Amino acid sequence: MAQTPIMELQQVSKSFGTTKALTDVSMKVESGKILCLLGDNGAGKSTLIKVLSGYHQPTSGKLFWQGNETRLPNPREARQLGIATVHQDVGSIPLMTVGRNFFLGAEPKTGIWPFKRLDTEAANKIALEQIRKFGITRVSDGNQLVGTMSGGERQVLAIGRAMYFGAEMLILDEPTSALGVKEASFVLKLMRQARANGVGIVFITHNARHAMAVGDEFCVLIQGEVAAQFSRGDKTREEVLNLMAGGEDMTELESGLEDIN
Amino acid sequence: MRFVKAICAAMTMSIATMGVTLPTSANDDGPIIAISGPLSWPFFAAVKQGFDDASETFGLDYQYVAVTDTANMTSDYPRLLQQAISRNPRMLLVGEFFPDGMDPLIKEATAAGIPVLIHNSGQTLWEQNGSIGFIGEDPFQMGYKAGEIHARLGVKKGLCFNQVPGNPTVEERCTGYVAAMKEAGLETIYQTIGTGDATNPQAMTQAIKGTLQANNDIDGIYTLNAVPAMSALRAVDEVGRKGEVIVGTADLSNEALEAIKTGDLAFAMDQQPYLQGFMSIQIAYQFLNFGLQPIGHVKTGPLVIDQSNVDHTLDVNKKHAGVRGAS
Amino acid sequence: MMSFVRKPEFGAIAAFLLTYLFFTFATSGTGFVSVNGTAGWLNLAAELGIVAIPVGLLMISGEFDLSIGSTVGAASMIVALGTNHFGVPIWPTIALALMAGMLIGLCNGLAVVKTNLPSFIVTLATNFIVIGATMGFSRLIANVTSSSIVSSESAKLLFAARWGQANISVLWWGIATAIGFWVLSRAVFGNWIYATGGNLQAARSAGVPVDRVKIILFMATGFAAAFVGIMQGIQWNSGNSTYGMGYVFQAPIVVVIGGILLTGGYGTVTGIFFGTALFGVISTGIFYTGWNTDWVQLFLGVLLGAAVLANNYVRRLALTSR
Repeated sequence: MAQTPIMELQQVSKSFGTTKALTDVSMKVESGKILCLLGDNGAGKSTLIKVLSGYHQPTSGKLFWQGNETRLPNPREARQLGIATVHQDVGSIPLMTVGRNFFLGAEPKTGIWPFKRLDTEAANKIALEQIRKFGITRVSDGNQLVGTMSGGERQVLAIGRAMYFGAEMLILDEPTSALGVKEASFVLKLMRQARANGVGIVFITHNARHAMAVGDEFCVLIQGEVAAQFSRGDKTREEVLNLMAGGEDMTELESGLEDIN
Repeated sequence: MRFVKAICAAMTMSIATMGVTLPTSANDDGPIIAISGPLSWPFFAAVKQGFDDASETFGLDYQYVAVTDTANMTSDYPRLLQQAISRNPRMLLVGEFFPDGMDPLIKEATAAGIPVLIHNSGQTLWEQNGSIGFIGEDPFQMGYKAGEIHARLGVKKGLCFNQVPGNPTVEERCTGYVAAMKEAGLETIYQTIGTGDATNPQAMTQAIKGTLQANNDIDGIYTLNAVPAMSALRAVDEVGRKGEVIVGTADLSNEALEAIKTGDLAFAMDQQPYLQGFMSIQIAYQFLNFGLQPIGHVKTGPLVIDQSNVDHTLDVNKKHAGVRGAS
Repeated sequence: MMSFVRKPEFGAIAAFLLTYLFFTFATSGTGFVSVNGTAGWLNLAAELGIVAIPVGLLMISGEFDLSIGSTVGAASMIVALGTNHFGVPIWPTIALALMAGMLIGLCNGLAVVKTNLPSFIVTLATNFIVIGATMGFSRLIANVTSSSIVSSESAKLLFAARWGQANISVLWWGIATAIGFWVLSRAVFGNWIYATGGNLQAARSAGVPVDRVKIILFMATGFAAAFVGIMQGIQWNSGNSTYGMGYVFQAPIVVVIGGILLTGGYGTVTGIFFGTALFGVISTGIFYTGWNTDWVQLFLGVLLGAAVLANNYVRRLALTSR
């Protein structure tokens, strides 16, 4: 049963002046599936995310949203379509309360004009409910500062927020890279939950183990081009790592590291 | 390349130093430079107006040089004087506000043949540093006269309020006041406020009010400017001692003059800054062209303005704004 | 109780109460604690307070405004020259002065968001530009740098009325505080202020119009500064280019004492209010003690240092998990 991918790129290239960051990239993101975008640093992942989220416009090539050709002129338009991006710094504001952070940019209001005010009660209540739903139990008060939360909890807050506001496609930029093993698995669990809810997820990472843990589809970028695309089970971990590092170098590097140890 | 740069730097430095230290003779084509006070003070705005009017009257061009930022005057003024000297001036008209730094430079200039005329500050020094004369009244003498007036009016404990502590020229006024009172065997209190409040009339009012409450035997206040004078009047009123405290000030403003008229303010002392500027140019003109000059020090103040002559002063202030130092 | 201690304004409130208590003893008998004495320090605090509130909001959003000093003076001179030199009735000159304040704020705001230069530098430049222009034009037009103001009954009522010895500025301070409080903690705009200062990129990504937030706040500080300049001018019947120079640093000082972080994103209007009140108490009270007044600045400096340390501690408390 082939379903229309929620987003598709066809032969998308992006240049900055004379530098070509992306060359003829074609890929599909499907609802209810996690696409792992792999690649070493400098492979073009961040440029690709920016194209997917409307920050950059492709120099050539086409974008399709739910089967229709579109342009994403800015991040706000992308957001309105239902594309949510969670950046590496999670976009959280440590000195702000959980409730306010959750509803930033979409604050609930109460009262009568011109004295409409921020409905902090509703904000706190809903924010707490949502993050509880995603498994965080340590946060007990919507008035807590986000800074009291751990890195993993903040990721969950950010992802949960995106989902609450109706994201249909979620772009997660290295969500687990700064987390310890336990917290990372927490976030991966949430990603599975989101997938189960029908969200299409683009999971950018340079950690192959995490990618193998949750990925349904894989796309490896090397120097701005798609070096490989495959589904779950098609390749082994070593093959994936080699692809990411651009060849057999990886095994040499690994054995070199082991020698040092 | 670095060697060349070093040589160039060394040459520039030596030329610059030569320009300042080598004796230069008076230059008949050189500019006439007036080094005087910051124009943000109404007092010196009046001095400049005197300079300007005389310049027009006598057809003598000149250049007015002063600091704009008053934070560093002690070091800025000697520097300005040095720069002026190195420009080979025809004559210098200097307010010797900071004698420690400026007097040696004046001596150098006069030794090199540049005529120097002092105004406003430097009353006790002009005869020794080679200047041709002095116009004005030293701030110390101003304060001293105020002290004398207070003593005469029966003040037993006077408050001298300095709203710009750390400014040597203004402080001199209080120093003079305290000296005069002391000589008459009377008590004084010297009060300052934080530098941030130098231009805040509300802060001055509260400060004086506090001091009055803490020392309710104060029966005289001398302020160094018209703005604190008005603050002092309000403070006296607020502590309920209107009529019991004799308030006088240096410098003028329309408000101060009105207060003298109603009797709230006992006196204001006009240093007649306009005359300092005007007569400096006049003397310069007559000296350079005819070799004439006044002998001795030309006094321009203080003119004490009290109820007896306030009406006329108010008139002038209204007709010719800026001539008496504040409007 | 612990949750109160974690609030950013706790330090300022505690400091205020302790300091006031201290001065009650140190000045006993001199009337500092009387109605008139209280009116005195309130008068002083109010003028600074009106400017400090928008300056504080701006600092929470991550920017500084060092041009408020010159704006105060400029506004007073606009009213003075307008009424005294040109004979214009006072209300149009007041409107003009307020608009000038907002215009200065608009320029500051645009310069900061378009050039991305630190606002510290941009507004410092504006400060010099405005005071230079004020003095230059005053001298050009009327040959003065300070001038009388010809007021009207209605203007005097609104800007210079007194109850006993308390100025109407105290009422205006209360109003400014109420507005500031409501905007920061109740309005959606307040959330945007916190976000802009807390994490600019995150705020932008979330759709907060950060540039607009900053420009509006700069215009608010300009307006407040002009307002205080007008008020001072009418109260003292005189405009002066140098009114307000002290506020440039006094406003950030009371804001920081009030618990606002220099880096932005944290703080409350209550804190700013008590920080300002504390400043008023110290600046005024010290003269009642009869001590050498040169120590005023030392006292303030020490207090500022202590306040920053205390606020740091409070913030760390707030960031620890429950």
